[in-house]
Amino acid sequence: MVPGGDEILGQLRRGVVEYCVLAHLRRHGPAYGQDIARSMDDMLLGSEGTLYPLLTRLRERRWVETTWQESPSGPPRRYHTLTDAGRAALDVFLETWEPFRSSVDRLTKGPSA
Amino acid sequence: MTTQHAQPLVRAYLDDLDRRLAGAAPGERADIVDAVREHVDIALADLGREPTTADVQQVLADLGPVDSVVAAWSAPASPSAAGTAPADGPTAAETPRSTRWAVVVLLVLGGALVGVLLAPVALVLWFVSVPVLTLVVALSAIAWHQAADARRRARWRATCLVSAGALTSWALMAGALLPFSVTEHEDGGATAVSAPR
Repeated sequence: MVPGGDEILGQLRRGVVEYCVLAHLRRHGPAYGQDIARSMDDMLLGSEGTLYPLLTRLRERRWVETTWQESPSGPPRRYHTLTDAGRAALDVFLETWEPFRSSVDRLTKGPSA
Repeated sequence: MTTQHAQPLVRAYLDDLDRRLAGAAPGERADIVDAVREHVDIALADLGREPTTADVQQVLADLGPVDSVVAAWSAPASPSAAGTAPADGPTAAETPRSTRWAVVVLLVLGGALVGVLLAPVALVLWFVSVPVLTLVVALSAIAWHQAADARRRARWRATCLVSAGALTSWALMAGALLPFSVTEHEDGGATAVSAPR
């Protein structure tokens, strides 16, 4: 049976999106859920709600820490900050990701001229 | 803001999510539901006006079906996360609190039994065995606290509890033997242990 696009996308997201969250936090500093969700397009995040189990997992792994901050409008927000362990995990991912992506491109598109 | 929880649609969504996460560890389940609730609160507060039913429906639509949130919880994550996500998630989740306490008690009792078995050697060489085991308890407690995932935490927790059980049994035995003193009798160089009068 040929897997559908959604199925393939789901599998790819599982291994990659959490590192995209870490990358967002490294690039933009502490952020709350909506902030992070808005930074990701539909390709990365199927729906905003799927971000929260992922953030819980990152917190359990101690790759992110959370703090509460008052907001000038609306309720207090839970800000997520990258930890040293999260930064290290992101570095390892990026070191692996680049050659992985190159290999996939080479095989699927042929060697670049 | 909290009145927004009274919105039947929001309440139904959160109740459904909470129910569907029944297999998650209590802390994890509460954490996810609370985060989604906060998301709804913020999204509706950001409107700057009293939300309509259509607003609430839009916020819930942006969150996506409850199924997809639950799937994101139970989905296999990266290999390094094998200990915390799906592999451990449902397993830890399905373990009731009473069972987890029973495991803790069994580990400590098991450690105490090991301590009793090793007592003849350990109490004679106490100046080596006690510091070494104390060090094992301390280091495994630190490793337990700092472990990156649930599987490693469980491993270090077991090490810490077993060694703490053994150390406790030695302490109890030493305490029980304290009233007795080692007395040297001048009867041909033999050494005997006798209780004080």
